[in-house]
Amino acid sequence: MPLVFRVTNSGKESVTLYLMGRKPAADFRISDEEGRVIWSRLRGQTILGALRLYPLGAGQALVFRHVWNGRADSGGIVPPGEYAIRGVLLTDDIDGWASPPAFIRIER
Amino acid sequence: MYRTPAFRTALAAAATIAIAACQDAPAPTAVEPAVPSPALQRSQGSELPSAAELDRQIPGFGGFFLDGSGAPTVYLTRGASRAPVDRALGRYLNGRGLTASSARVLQGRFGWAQLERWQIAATESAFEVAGTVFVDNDETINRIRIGVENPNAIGQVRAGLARLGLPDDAVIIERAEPVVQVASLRTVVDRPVRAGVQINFGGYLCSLGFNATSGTQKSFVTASHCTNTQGGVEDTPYYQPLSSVDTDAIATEVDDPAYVKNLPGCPRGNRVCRYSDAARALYADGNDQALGLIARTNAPNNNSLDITGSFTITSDDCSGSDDDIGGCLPSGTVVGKVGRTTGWTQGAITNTCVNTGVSGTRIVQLCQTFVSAGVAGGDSGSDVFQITGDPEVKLLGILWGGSGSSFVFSPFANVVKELGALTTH
Repeated sequence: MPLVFRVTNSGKESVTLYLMGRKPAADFRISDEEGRVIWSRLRGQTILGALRLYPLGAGQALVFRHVWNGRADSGGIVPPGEYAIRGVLLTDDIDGWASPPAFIRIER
Repeated sequence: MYRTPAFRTALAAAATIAIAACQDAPAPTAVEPAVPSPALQRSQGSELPSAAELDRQIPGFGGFFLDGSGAPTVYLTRGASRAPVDRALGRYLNGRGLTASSARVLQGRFGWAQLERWQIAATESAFEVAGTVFVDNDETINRIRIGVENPNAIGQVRAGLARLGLPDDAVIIERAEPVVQVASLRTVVDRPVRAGVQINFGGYLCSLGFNATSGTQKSFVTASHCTNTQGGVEDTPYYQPLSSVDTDAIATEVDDPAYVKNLPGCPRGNRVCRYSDAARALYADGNDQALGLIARTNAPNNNSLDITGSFTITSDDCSGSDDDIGGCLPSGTVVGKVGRTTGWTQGAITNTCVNTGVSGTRIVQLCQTFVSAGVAGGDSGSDVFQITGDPEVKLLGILWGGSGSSFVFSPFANVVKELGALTTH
């Protein structure tokens, strides 16, 4: 399943984003109906802790893409059900900057 | 970061954040003061007239305040009528469910305009005395209140006021704690420069790791990836806290070994390795080096960035032989760091001597230490230490990354192996 996380400057002025790492990075996190995160693209990965001052012009967007293979972090195919997907921009906030959820339903 | 973005959800399985410079107030980290809306400003102005306006409307007005129970209270000088008080404050009181006559009236000795003139004169005079903290036209006591740090200064201040003709009973002079500017790890212009404060290079922010002297070179150590290019010397100039605040570079990168393939333990293929993510920068002015000092906040893990003092490095973790690579503290040891983003955080070492791949790169850092403690972007370069007594600490290494709720650091022995012998205190 293709995942797309888009951060758009919808204003009329350039803004400066404070982004963790040398290059802009984002996580994708998928939660089950109980709210448990069952998969995270960056789980277990170590991210550089520099803070990049990233100008984002009016109307410009940062776009992150990933293809999820339908497996949980445990390695197994996830069971049927509804799942919430969030993009999380890595910033100077310890929790990052999360999008609202997009929902998918997996049926077998 | 932008903490109040306008969110917009796109198609299923696609997540979107929309941000704007003006709309929805997505302010950058350097937050500007909020400006009340014109409507709010009008509302507030119409509800409570200014002191100057009350003074115009109320003959004998000596001050207005809410007492300890929240009751509106007005000072009037002897012989002044109450009726103008009710008229001037009627709308304000009605708006709060009170009658116009509910304001409490106290007899004052001095008129407001007179106190205002005395405050100006007293300010001029009192601040000629060292240790004067404040001069206030205090509306709660219908007097001028002056604060001084040292009681010995009270006589000097009072003598100066007497020369100006201020009545002795119009002034209260008392001891007061000095007002100290609170410096933040992010904004302080720290000279000499302590570890833990913000540094700026190129378009990046990091934290200063620790001060160190190499031979005779007064330097500091930060993360290798907190240079223009990770690995290799590019003479990166460093500013503190920002190049826009102080345009003079405080230091220049002088040592940052290249990442290589042939280190023992480095994976085969296209991976490149080092034992530390550390680089050394030489101070432009050696006097800027605060050797052995780490800026500190008041407590760990409380999100504070306000500097309240310093830790003092009195020892370093083991170093000098290959047996020391990875450091000498066992898992479970509680250690801390101070960095510009999350301040002082501390937690237990969870893993030692971990060969650690860096997300999105070919780099593997050999024999690193993981700590269960907070970290976020901008903390790279932070000093990592163990408290051995307060304020004494043992220096343990350089933070360079985060993994979930853990930070990762290069042990001091690894840093010394690559940057050479360093004097840290």
